Amino acid sequence: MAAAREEILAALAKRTMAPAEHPGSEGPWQSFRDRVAIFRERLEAAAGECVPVADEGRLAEAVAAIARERSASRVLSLVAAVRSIGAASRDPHDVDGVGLAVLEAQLGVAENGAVWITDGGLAPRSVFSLPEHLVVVLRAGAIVDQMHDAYARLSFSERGFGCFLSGPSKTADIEQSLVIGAHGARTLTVLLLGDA
Amino acid sequence: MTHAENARAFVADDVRAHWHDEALWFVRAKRDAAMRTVPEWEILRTRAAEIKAHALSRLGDYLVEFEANATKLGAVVHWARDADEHNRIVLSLLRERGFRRVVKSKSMLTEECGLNPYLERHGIEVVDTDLGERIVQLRREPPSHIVLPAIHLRKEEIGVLFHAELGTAAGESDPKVLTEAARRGLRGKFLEAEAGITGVNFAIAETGGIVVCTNEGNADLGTSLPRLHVACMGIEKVIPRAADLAVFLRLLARSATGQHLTTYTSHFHGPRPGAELHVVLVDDGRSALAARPAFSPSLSCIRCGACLNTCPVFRRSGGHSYETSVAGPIGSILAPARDPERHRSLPLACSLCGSCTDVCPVRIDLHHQLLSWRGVLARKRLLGDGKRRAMQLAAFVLARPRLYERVARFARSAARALPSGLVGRLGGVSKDRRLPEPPRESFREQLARRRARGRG
Repeated sequence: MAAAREEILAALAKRTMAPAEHPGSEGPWQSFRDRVAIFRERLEAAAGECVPVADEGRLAEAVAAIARERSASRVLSLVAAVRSIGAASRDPHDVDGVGLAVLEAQLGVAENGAVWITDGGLAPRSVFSLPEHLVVVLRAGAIVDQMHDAYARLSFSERGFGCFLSGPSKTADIEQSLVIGAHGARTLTVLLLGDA
Repeated sequence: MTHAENARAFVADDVRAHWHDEALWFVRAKRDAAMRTVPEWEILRTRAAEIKAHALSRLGDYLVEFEANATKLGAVVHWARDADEHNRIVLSLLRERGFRRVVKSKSMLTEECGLNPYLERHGIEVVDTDLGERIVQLRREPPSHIVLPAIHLRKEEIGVLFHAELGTAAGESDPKVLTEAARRGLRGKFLEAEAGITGVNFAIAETGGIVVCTNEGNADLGTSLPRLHVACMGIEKVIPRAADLAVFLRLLARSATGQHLTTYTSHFHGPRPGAELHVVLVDDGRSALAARPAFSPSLSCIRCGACLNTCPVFRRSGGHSYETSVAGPIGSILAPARDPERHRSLPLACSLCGSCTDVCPVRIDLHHQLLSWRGVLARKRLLGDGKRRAMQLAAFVLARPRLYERVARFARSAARALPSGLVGRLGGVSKDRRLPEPPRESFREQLARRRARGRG
């Protein structure tokens, strides 16, 4: 195997590709007058839902309403203001059967309606893909215009997992017909905090 | 078989051929709509091309940097010179741990390497989890498109397949019902899997992380449940910095399906606690391609599939006609680099319309490269004798203006006199195309006449 590494690197070192500078990250990147409105529009285009919540005190109530609507009896919450219902162990397989997971997003991206979520070591990683339904709590102030601004705020210096999630799991592999709920969450609702 | 021979079978079913054409054009139209929401689209394309050119010019350095940073995060990096070495590495990772049940998300590299049949020959159960890939796996055929693996199939055919394989009701062909059946069947596979194999969309040198994009969430399920995650990637997938992802991700899904972003864009930095992450870096002809300046820009490809969706030849001939893991314009450049003799018909499966070059998010000059390939194949004497002699004859005539004039005059009157169907066949034009009525006068004759009149 060491031989493979040396051979590949030697072959690449011999090659005569013209040197080219890295262009850097600055640019005339898109910005929006009303980020929240664009975020909402693009999230809905990705089959997600957006529900404004006035303050943190109202979160539990909003989640309970969604859990009722989705008939989710087991709720796994990673958000302090919302309680879990039904125990979950550290085994990622145990997340199977969770009806609703409640996650906290670090930021949202207006141009594509995505939210950035990380595992933060709080729960098994399967919590992002195995539950039937997802609720993501996002502060309206944490919405950035586009991906360049998003990456400017993210750091990858430590071991961990992070994901841009835009809407629920979906597929169009059968005749280009969009079907929501391929393998992962069947619905994704963003609870938007403090959107006055 | 040549592309043209395979395509003949595809177009024999006229209704299906038209449907396929329209299905792909629909995806192209969605791409256009998404592209128009980004005012700086053309700047992004240029930026993406520049980043890739830079990364490829220092590919060795960035691979070493990626390896060091990934290792620091607890991942294990392997190097494979070719498909066989890649397959052996993956098998030994499974065997050392006694694992036999594998779930796999989409990876064109593993298609290229023939990983599935290799593992199956060695007693491993490999389940493709992307819905389109699962469909073609159950049909025991390769994917026909890099992003839409089952685009060649009608829902009724999938209904028949699922009835036989998954026990759905006979005659059921509603995509929702079929998708739900696949979901239920695959849930069990995910929960039982001992290892998850994924491809890699981007590897970040600066951080040692990898990024995997899916819409279904199958890569996330396949890596969050089993204890072993094996990520397989071509060496050209490495990019310098995390910030570069912004450029590529803004282009990728919009170019591929017209979405603003894939549903799950997952960043893996090291293994999850209590699990293992292995990354296999595969050369398989890429370093050789990097050494050929005429074709090395094809290594910038981010596998969005836009060039396939827009290509008039791909849309009307189907992915299987190419007999390669990557079909369409980009595949017709990559495949002859691997085996020029076997894939010699592919650079000819192109009208040189340039639509692929127009939509490519990383500005690969696809149709220029396809034309260059024809030159290479001609010099290798791989174009076929008929074509070679015709070209020699054309060169002889075109180099002699008087002779050319005489031949052209004869051809014009002959073409007017003969039935048009016969002219088409003699000219090697397809049965569905008609040559326009040839003009009575050549340009030169017209010019001479007008000049004479002007003087008179």
